[in-house]
Amino acid sequence: MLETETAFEDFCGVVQPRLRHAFAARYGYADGAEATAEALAYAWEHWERVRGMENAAGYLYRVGRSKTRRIRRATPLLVDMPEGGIPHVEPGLPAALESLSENQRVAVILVAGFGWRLREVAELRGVSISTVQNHLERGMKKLRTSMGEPS
Amino acid sequence: MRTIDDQLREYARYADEALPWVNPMDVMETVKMHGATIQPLPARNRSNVFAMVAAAVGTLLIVGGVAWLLGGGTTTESADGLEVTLPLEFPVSELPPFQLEVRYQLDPGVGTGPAGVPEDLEALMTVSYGGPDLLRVDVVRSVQLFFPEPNGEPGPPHKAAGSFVVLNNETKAEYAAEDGTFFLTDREALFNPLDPLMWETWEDICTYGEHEFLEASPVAGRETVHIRCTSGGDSYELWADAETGLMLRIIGQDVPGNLILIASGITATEYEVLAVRYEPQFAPNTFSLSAPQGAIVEDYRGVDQSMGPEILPKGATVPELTGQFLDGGDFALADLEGSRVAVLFWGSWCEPCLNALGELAVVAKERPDVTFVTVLIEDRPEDASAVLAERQIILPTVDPDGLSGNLYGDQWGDGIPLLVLVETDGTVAAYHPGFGPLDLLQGILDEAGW
Repeated sequence: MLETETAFEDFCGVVQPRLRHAFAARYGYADGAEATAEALAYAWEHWERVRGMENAAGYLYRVGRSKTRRIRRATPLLVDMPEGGIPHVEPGLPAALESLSENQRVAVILVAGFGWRLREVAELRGVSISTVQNHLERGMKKLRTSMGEPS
Repeated sequence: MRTIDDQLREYARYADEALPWVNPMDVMETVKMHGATIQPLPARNRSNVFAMVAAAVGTLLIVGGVAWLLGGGTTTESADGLEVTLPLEFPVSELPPFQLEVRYQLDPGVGTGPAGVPEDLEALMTVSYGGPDLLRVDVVRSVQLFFPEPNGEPGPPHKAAGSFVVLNNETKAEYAAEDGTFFLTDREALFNPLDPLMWETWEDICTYGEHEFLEASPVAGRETVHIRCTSGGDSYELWADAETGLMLRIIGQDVPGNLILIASGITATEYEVLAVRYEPQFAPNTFSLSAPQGAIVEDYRGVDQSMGPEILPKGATVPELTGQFLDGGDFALADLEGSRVAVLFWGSWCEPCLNALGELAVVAKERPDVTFVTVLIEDRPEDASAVLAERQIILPTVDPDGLSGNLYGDQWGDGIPLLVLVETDGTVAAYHPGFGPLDLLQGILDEAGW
């Protein structure tokens, strides 16, 4: 295999885990997968430019975000609940997550769900850590209220 | 019943297994096949990754190159007898140069710390947009922020009036009028030139929500389109320039805008353009990267500015840390030399910190060989004590001397929660900002060889 193609595969190995979480958090399962594919295709199309970027994942997040505006659906469901539910997860959790604002939902799912650091979310989105922290705090508060858990 | 945090982790774990992966080989193959010709979008088929990539590439080719930034077309809707047409997205390339006078009403509700809320939360900025990759924001009127001095008095204004930021396609120049510092840093990516403002389109803000068009009224002398967006209980009202799509007024929660320039850590409830001038005559030095006379210049261009462990890398000697224990007595980190010490910086007002605190308490019980200390940031001892009591957490907790409010700019770090593991010789064994599940905390200890 050509060196460039190997490099691109390695690159996908680094950025795809980030992008699929982030896009799923923002757009839901279906559009999120599509946005990930679009962002990676863009990266390959513009490989010479993208390969040297320090924050390529952040850049591609914008690319996928921009593209997905055209195709987004009504519900940003992170993933369908399987028949019989997920053990220890209240059936109302997906709906409660959907009711958050986009920024809140992204912060809550990435940080509290997938265990990202605030810094990682901030770098991806190109905003300050405290902004992410604000979205997380607000989102968790709202989630606790809607799920009936004392904050 | 499991806590919300536990449920989120379970749900995310399940989602992680269910979410598809894209094969890089498919990506390359599809791009190669389609070359530079515009292809019709194939039918969507979610089970077929190849089709997904093909759809992606088709869209990319249609939009093409850097033009991904740009919106296309307009939308027309009729609601309650109102016929409305406005740009679907913010047409950056077509946007003429402009200058705005902007008023922000800051939201005192979040992240302001315990030192109280100032009566006046109105900030004013001038935004100068000279075209793609040319932007300047001047702070005309700042607000007194809340990072308290050690004696409890409010700190000096952050980004005082006279501060400004200039961005071009290579460099970000930032002048802080309160202390006369002038920073030059590399500008990283080829982002939308308006990104520094976190400017958003009405469509962004209304995403997933309901929107309705309301009777419009002029803002700053411009005809507008007036929209109400409702999403998940949040509601925004927007007034966009009917001709250019420029956002002229927003009322709601988390109002977008570059608050970071003037007030890191808080949000706004209202953004309003008081005056807008398209194609203005800019002053000759508007987009100059020159430092004001007498400024202290710090040039970080070409220097790795990535935050993280570099703030206190492994092996660095930890800064001095002293204070008073909440239950009485003086604390000095230096007194613990010879012991392994885990220090968690937190505040009772910081939701993620409380998770970190709870997890630290669990680990602490299992690790009697490590001394665990928690340090309050921008917090009142009585508030912290109440939280510790309520959660039945017993950890030595220190009200520190001299640390700056939100840790920002402090030699320890730039945000909380922050966990630092200190070796027996007073050097850093691990440095971990942010928080994660318990296994992550355990992983930090493992990685440090503790």
